[in-house]
Amino acid sequence: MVFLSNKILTGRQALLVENSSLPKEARQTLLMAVLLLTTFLSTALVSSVSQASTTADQWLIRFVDAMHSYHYNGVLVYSREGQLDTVELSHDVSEAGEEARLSYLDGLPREFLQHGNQITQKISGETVASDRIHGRNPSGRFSGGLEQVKKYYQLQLKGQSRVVGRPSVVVEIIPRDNQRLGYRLWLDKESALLLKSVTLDPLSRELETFQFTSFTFTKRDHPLKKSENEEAMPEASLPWLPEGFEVYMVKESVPVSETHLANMFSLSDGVSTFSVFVEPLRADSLEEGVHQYGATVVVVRKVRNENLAQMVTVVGEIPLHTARKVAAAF
Amino acid sequence: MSDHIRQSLSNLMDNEADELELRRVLKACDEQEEAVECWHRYHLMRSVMHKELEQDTLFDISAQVSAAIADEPAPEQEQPKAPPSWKDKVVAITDDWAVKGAIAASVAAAVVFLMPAPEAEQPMLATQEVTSYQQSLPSRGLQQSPIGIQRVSAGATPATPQYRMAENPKYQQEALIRGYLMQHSEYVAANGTHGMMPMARVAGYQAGQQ
Repeated sequence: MVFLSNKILTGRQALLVENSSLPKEARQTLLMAVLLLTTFLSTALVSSVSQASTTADQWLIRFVDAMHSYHYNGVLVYSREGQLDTVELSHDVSEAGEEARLSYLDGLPREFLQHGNQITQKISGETVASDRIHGRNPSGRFSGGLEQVKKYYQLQLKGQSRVVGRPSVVVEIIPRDNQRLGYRLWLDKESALLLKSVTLDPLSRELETFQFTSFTFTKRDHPLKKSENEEAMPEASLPWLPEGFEVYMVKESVPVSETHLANMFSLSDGVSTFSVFVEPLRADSLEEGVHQYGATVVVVRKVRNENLAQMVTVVGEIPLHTARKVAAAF
Repeated sequence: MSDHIRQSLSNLMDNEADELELRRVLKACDEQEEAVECWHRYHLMRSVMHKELEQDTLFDISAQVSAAIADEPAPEQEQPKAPPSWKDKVVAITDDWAVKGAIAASVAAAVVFLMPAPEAEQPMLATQEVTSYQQSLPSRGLQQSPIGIQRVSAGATPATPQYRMAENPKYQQEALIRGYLMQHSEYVAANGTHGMMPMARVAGYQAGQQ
């Protein structure tokens, strides 16, 4: 486009040179005016193309809204520690809420269906588990607004890139302390949908990657209204929580296995999430220890008080030392 | 004796020597006893390899070997008092062919254990496939009905691996960990920044199961 305006300019210049009836000074001012006009036009056009999203904050706001205004589907690759898994993901928005379908392309033909508040797990087409999600306030989706998020994270626009053949912008969510993980997001320039995400530890080492390898989307005619009736924050507290994390959901007697039930507390700082499970200690409970799968850590601790033996399991995408501290406080 | 002559001898054995080489070999045999011995050894080797060796020329070295081992001083007496350095140990280990074999075997075992996830997820099916493959191999040349053999092997191997998996406390622990991870992932999928994406992590936990 700059090239184009240059062409117009040279054309005009030629015209000016030919039209020698004007005085030299007038000719110069006219030339200046044309030059200014073309530069102004080109900048105006460029900014309208990118829909004026110039800061990381604006991109994140668009990203959250995009979840409600687009149908999309594609093949997603998940990688951690040299392991690679492929899933097919489709996401729809209806009046009932979000609908998503995730099916595994490797191994067992497992499927997860999300229909509003309901998550259903299927294996080879047969339903094996169905669960209603309580505490449905999208706590992880920058809840509490961007201001709250920016208290614990720094938002940076890291430039432009290309993912799944689509131009994208790179937004980095950098933790301000070492109590949470960072995220590098590749957002589609046109729709602001998430195309790729890398989870980073406090030292900026890559822990896991999600990336679409094929991607299509369509815009909804009427974007869905964000649900206003968010459930009230539960009244619960844990012995110690890293700064900024709050209890968003408390669920009693969550089935962990066929015979194990635990009370589940879910916590979020608006971006990162983790869960704490508390249950009575049993002979066949998990052994004490630490496990790590990509960005997810599992810390298991047995707590013995005078006449009460409990099992505390911290699971989530937080640094290991933070998870340990949460468990140790019990 | 030069490698040149050895090469020519070898070529002559394989009927690949040209006339010039033949003359050179003949000349060498006239001049050096070594070349004649070499020629003799090459023939002996070929005879052994082709299993054409006469019985009387074959001699048993096992008695000599065991005698030599018996004569050898015990290894404890040979060892220096100071513990051998790490480097020496490595050299000793790599020099030892038996150990090399052991390393190769353990590598093979590791390869078997690190087989991709689908096999772990469907142990019964995987075992069937493996056995039927192994059993159908010899049938290529010998028999005309590999399908029949496969059927027999499939029936003969019950799903023992699956049974073992359920009994092993290690697998029980892993199944429990997956339970916690699943509950957490569901929560993150419904409420997190990444939409359903985190459910893809669950695929990873499944694959981690051996």
